[in-house]
Amino acid sequence: MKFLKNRVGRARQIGKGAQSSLELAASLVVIFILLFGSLQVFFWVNKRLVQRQKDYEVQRVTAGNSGSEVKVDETNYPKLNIFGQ
Amino acid sequence: MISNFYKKFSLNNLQNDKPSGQIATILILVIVVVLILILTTVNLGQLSISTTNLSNVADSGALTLASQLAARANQIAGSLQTSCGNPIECCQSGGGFGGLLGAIIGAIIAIVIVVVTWGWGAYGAFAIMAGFAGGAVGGAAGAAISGTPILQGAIQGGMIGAAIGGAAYMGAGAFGMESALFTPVTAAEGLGAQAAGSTVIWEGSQAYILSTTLIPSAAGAVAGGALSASASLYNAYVADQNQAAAFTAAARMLNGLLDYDRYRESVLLQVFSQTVDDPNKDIDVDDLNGNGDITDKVSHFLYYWAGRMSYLKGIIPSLQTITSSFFQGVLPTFSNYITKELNVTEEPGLGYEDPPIITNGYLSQSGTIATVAQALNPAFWNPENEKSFASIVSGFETFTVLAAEIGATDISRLTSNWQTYIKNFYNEDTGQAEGENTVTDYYHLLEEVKGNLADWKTQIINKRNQLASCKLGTTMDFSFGFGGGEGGTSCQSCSGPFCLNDCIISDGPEASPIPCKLDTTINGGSLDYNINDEITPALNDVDTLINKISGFQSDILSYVTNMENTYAALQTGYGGLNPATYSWTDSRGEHSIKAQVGNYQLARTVTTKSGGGWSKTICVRLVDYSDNGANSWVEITRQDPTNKDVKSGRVSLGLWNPFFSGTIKKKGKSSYSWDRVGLTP
Repeated sequence: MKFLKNRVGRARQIGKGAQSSLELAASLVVIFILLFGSLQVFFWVNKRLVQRQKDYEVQRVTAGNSGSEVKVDETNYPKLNIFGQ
Repeated sequence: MISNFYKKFSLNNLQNDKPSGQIATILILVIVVVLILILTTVNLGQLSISTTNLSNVADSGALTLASQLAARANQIAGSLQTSCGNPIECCQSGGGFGGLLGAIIGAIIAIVIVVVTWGWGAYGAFAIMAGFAGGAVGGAAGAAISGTPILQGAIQGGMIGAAIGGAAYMGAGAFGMESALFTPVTAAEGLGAQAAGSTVIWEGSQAYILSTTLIPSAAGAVAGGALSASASLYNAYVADQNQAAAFTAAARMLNGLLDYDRYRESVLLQVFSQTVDDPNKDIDVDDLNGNGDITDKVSHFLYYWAGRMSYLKGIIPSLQTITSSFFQGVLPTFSNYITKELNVTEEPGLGYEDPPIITNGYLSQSGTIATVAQALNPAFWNPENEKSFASIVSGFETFTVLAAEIGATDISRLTSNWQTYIKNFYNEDTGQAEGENTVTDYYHLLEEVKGNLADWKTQIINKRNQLASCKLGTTMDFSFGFGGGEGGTSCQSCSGPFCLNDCIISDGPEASPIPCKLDTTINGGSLDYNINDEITPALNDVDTLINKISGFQSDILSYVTNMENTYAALQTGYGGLNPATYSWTDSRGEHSIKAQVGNYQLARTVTTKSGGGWSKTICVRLVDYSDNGANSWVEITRQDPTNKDVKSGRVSLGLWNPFFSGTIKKKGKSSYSWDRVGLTP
């Protein structure tokens, strides 16, 4: 009986350790996804910022002339893709 | 609880062999990384906003400048178009050399009088609206990015533009908003319209509703939509109760500046009002905003601006004194002298029954020079000669008429425009090509006139030397020794020792030919049998005229030099006029905005000439009416704090602008002509 109790107790301890590992792994995955996503958003925002600035500088002269109409073409702007291509 | 929180999130959890708290700690680290990313993005975004804002302001400033310059060129071009069907050049052929004498004053009048007329007269509204429209376009472009509502920016630019276009007009009654763009309404209607969101501008208790929608430039709209606002002075004003009055006051201070200065300062005001976000305020002890309250506060910038405007205007009385001395002293004196010598004057005799005293001016048709020229028939007496007596007399006549007209012009307007017309008096570019002709000015033209007059002298002397010598005799009295009947005097030849030689023999076989030269004087000669010398006085009169012209030339040089030297004193004061720098300190640190306007030129007319003889062509030509961006530009340099600790209480959150010098420099270039305006790369 005592032996059995020890076996069950050990199994419970082993189960707890496995549970922790699973939780740690899942948490790490979520955290790294969060970090990766944040980086993606960071690069996306800043790339767009730079691209818009470039477009603005190119088009400001045209826009400043009468009768001209300037539209920004955003098709070539970087797309937001959190999980990469 | 704090202890428990510390245990959960302590970095020691990563080192210790504890199963709990490790994820939370890693999460905290990730959040720190994310916060750094956000701070970097915000910093970069702020930099982008500032850069874009500065670009827009530079563009709007350049457009404003170009718009005003083009509007001015358009005024003069319109005047030329009306006069001769050509907006750039009005030419007249066959006027001979003398035509130039009047044409130069005409060129000055084309600048001053025309601008005055358009500013004060029936075209006043046009001038205001030309300025308004230019300012509005620039203001709209700049406002879009700076977060200021586009229409508001347009109004702001328009107010500055109106200050330029109708500066003289404003002096009489604020903005003179009788134009179609603004509809005057009652105060109640104005308040109602304002509440409904319409743009209303107040002039005292009189309200004006803007009835035109202004479309911003696409660039402004694009950037304006994407990026949020950085504060601007106008926004700061909006937060106050006295916003409109304060900004109106700043714009109104432009009134009364010299024309050239007003163009520059209007652009600087436009730039500063869209870039300066100085939160500091001063008590309005001078009531700069004109609301009658000297206890309220206005932006510190307004006091800087008022000081700058006062400094610029401080020089005007000195310039006016010099201008008045020339146009109401020197010019009329010389003109009156010429007028007197062109005409025959008649004054009452000294006694009651004495005949009137008639004085023939020596440039009159019965004057000394004409009389001699008529008798000797030198080349300059031929009216087809471009340097003829008739041609130069005609030029002087035109000069006196136009001098009277320009002398009646308001001195303040003449002073205000001095930089544009003064080159017609003295221009260092004289002789250089301008179109197909060459530039000339009054100083050098008068030098040519003097040469022509000296040539007259030479021709008279040559003709005189070709004459036969006068036969001189003695006046004999026949009253005695011939029966006492019909006595009288007669000029008799005499070879005896007691001959007086005081007459020219007119009768008998030895009669003298007339005109003849008098050998008793160096260049003397007589045109009749009276022994009086008529040729020497004519030569003396030519000398007198040459000396008078030399004196007038010296006065011209003095006038030009005095004006330039007096104005040059401004360049060193007030921390420099161009570029102008405004600095302030706020909770973020020290900031400064340096704005510089290019070496723009105001449209003006010059007088040019070509050809010779009666085929000579004289033109009044519009110059400096266009620019490709070489001189019409605005450069703005903004300096913000760098490596500034971003703190929350005593805790430092990081550095602001750690990898950035804090300096942003942007330049906007504009191109314009009398009929177009635009930006240029």
